[in-house]
Amino acid sequence: MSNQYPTNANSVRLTPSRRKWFIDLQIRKNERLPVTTNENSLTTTTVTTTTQLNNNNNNNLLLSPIGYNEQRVSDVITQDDDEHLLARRSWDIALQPIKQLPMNIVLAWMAGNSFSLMSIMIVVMLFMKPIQAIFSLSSAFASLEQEGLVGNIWLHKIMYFLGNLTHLALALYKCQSMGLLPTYNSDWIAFADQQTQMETSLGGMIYS
Amino acid sequence: MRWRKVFETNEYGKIDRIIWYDQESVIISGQGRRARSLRYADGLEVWQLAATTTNTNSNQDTVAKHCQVIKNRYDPGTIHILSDDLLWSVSSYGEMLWSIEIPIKSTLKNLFLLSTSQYVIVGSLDSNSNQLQVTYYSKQDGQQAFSSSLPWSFNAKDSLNKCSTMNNLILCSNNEELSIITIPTTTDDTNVKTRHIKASSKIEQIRILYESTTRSVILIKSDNGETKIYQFNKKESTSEWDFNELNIQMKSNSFISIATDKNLAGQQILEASANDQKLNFHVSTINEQTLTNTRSYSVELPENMGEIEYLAYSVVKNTQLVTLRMQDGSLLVIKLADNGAELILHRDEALSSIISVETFDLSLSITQMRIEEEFGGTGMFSMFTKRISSQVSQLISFFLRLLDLFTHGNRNRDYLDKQAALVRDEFNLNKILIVVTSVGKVFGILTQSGGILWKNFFPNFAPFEHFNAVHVPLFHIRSAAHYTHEPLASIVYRDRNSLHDTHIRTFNPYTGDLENNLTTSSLPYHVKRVFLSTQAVDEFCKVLLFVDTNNKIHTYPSVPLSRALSTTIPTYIYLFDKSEQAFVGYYLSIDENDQKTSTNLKEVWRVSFQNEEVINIHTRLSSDRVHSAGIVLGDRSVLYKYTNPNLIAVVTEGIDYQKVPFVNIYLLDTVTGSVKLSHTHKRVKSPVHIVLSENWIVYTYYNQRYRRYEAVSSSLFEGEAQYNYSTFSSFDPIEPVIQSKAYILPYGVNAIQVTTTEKGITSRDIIMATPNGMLIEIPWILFDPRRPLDLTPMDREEGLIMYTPEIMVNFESVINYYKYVYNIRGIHTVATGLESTSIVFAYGLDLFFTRVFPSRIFDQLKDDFDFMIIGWSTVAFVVGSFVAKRFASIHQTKKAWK
Repeated sequence: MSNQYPTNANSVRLTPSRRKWFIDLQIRKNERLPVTTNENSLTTTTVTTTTQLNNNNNNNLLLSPIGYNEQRVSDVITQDDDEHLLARRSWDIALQPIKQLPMNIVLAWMAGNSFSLMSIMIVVMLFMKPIQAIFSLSSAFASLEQEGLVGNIWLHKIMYFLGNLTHLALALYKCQSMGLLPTYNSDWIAFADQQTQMETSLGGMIYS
Repeated sequence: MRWRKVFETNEYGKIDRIIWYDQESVIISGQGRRARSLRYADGLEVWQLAATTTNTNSNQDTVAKHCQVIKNRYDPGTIHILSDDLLWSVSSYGEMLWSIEIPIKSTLKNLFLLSTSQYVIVGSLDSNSNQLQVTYYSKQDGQQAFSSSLPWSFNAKDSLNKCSTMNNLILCSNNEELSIITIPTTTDDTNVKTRHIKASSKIEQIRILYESTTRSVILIKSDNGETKIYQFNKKESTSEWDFNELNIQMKSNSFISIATDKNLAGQQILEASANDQKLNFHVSTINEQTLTNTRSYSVELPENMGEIEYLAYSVVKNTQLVTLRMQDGSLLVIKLADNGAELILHRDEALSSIISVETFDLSLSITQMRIEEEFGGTGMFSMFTKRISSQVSQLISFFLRLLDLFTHGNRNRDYLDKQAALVRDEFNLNKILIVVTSVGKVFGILTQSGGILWKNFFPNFAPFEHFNAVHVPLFHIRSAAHYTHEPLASIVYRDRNSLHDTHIRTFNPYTGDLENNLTTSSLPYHVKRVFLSTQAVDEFCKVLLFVDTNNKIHTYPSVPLSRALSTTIPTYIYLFDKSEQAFVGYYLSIDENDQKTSTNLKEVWRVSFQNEEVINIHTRLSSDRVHSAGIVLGDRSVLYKYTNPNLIAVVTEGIDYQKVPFVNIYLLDTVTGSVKLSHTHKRVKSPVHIVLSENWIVYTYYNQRYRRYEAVSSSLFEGEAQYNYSTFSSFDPIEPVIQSKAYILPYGVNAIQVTTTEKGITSRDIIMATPNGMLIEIPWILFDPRRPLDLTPMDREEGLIMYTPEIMVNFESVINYYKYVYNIRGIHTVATGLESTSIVFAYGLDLFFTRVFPSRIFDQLKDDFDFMIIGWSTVAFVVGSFVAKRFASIHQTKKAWK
């Protein structure tokens, strides 16, 4: 949930057009002014407009500061494509706890059943993370809403919630295997009241 | 006290006679079988001699041994000892001169021992012919010289009780007549002369006051209180004696002692009598037939000490010293001087004969009381006003104290200190011990200093018998928990003169003042047993319950039984009858509306023992608390304890058909009469010391086969499931599972007890007193009967230690370090306000008091805890945080301006 903005290469490639302006620092003489920035883009969403004539090249060079480009980049995003991406992203967020489960299982197993600082810290962490995640359930999906996600994401939320519950279950299992859960009679014996006596007896040896 | 020597606890430690010399004294002990010499200057045992006995059947000493010791008057360095059939002589230098065995004959009993300058004379009674056989042995080598016989009219027992010997005279009292039998001292003179002195009534006692080769003084006491003193003078060159009466007017309760001094012409005779708190002395010089120079002294005693029991008068370097032992066990030394008598030493030797101990909490201080009061209200408004008023009064008293401090300074500091000593401390660690001694003196002892706060002497005191010990019931009538009422303690004892009369004395344990409303000396019934009621009646006082000989139960003071005992919980009473060797259980039914103060008991069960004799009954401590209902095992299941509060331990002794002695231990349920545990140990000797607590019992005995002390520990469990988790009844069909283990003890055992704590959470320790003077604290887990033979991980999880038969005792666990205490007869443990701490009081010849921490100090700070460092570092942190806060804000502002 921490990485709400995925940064892997794949998604960068998928959203090349999300820029409002750009600065071209590579200015060469006699270069063709209208530059399409991404030649390798699969979908050419850039529309280049020439506002100047080719013969104005030199003037243009002098007038515009470094990094200034007369070109305009349009900000037109195709709606259906965006929705598809958002759906993917929301599923990413929803399934993220389940994806993390194997790692936590390994972590819990590594910690062992003995009591040490490490194992206790890991148990505390196993409890704290899902609980925090459940409480910040809405904020986990908040970014999606900000980005204008319309439609229902309750299924995602339930998935996210259930995923965190599996984490809690793992934490409980860990506690159980460490013997921290009061599941035996022996854990409650200190709280047992004293038995009340149904008879009293007095006496001793007869004084002769 | 310069030195002290503790003799053996067995028969060899019993002193028969002490013969005093100038530098050292010879002590004959063990029925004339041991002689040893102690030097006065340093208490060193200079020599010790044991009688050479050839008869090894000393086990059959069921017949009371008889022993006579005399110092030869003609040769003061020689002591003759007659012990049954052994006659031996030792010199004061520690040399055994000779030792002979007089031929044993069943009808012949050796009674008298006399000595002359040449012979040692043994008078033995031949019960067949009623003749006294007088045998002469040579003083030098013990060779039998000759013997003669004379008619004798007393039997053996009478002869021992009523006769005494003096030089060559045997004095025997026969009702109103004193016979003086002169034994001839040489071979040529053989006629025995008998003369008589008539007394006005039956002679009770003959005492020899002074004895020398030429002169003797005896005292004859008649049972009508008349006392006469006769002086004997030896006739020249014969073995006969002249006697004449000395006319001294004596009171019936006076004691006489005679001292000689080289500087004095004759003997000085001292007459002493006790009168309330006053001792009167009359000193006179014996002059032929009359007394001259009579002088009277009197000394005021600090307290009532009863009658004189022993008196010795001596003149040491012209100082007249009187040593007395009083009825209350006090040792007094009084110096008689020209300007009157002066008490120069007073020791309460009664403290070495403690038989009952109880502890009382000290009273709350005034501030603690106010706090109790402050939170005592119920309504909101009353609580508020109480708080305000008490806090105002606290303020006022604080100012008053300040004022007092300024005006008076330290003048009444001592008084305040003494008051402070009587006030309960924060953790209720200091208490007051009430001890009852076998002579009838009761002491109140402060535990923090060991100082005696008060003492009371009850003159006609006689304790009850309890198997082979004595016992005085001592009860908490009202505990110190009720701050508005003073606590009360009661003792119950019998009258010394008429054993059917029972006295009850109730007193305030802080001051020893008698509470006269609850004190009586006449109960209209003959008491069989006394115990304390389970419920408080009036003003938080409990009442005493008496069972009389008609098996009727009475209350004292008289209140309805329905108020003294619970009507919802049935009461069972068990009594052990020694003559029948049987335990009888009675059921006591009380109707709630019943106003009867006495009722009959209904017998419901009976357990009798055959071929074995009950030698002890042991009950658990009334303060025994069980905190947890079970033990957590290694697999985290629970093994429930069988904690039956109605169990008592019974020890029996006997000899089986193979003539092997055995000891049996039973755990008897006193409600149903069922036996829950029985152990038999063969070739085992008592005393058996028992600790019964929670669900376990630990007892020790002496193993005759392996010649070592052993302990057996047993625990009772209900099993993996509890029959009823909320109530316990002895009628529940629970068959307890018993686990037992035996252990070898490194030392013998004089007394054994378990530590007590307030809630019973702290683990238990066994406190053991050993004959060599140590008090050892052994954790109970070393006695745990569940100690496994091979340790599994599950056992290790549970914290069990592997079984080893020997109990190793660390010298660190000796709680009295090098302050050895001897002949401990009992240990008393009490809980304190701190759960970790238990109080231990061991009593016997010596007294020892300490606090023990069975589970270490878990609820206190260590002694070396540095309050200064913690305090100053806290202050430093607070100051530092403020400074840092200021700096941080400055820093922030600067950063913002940048």
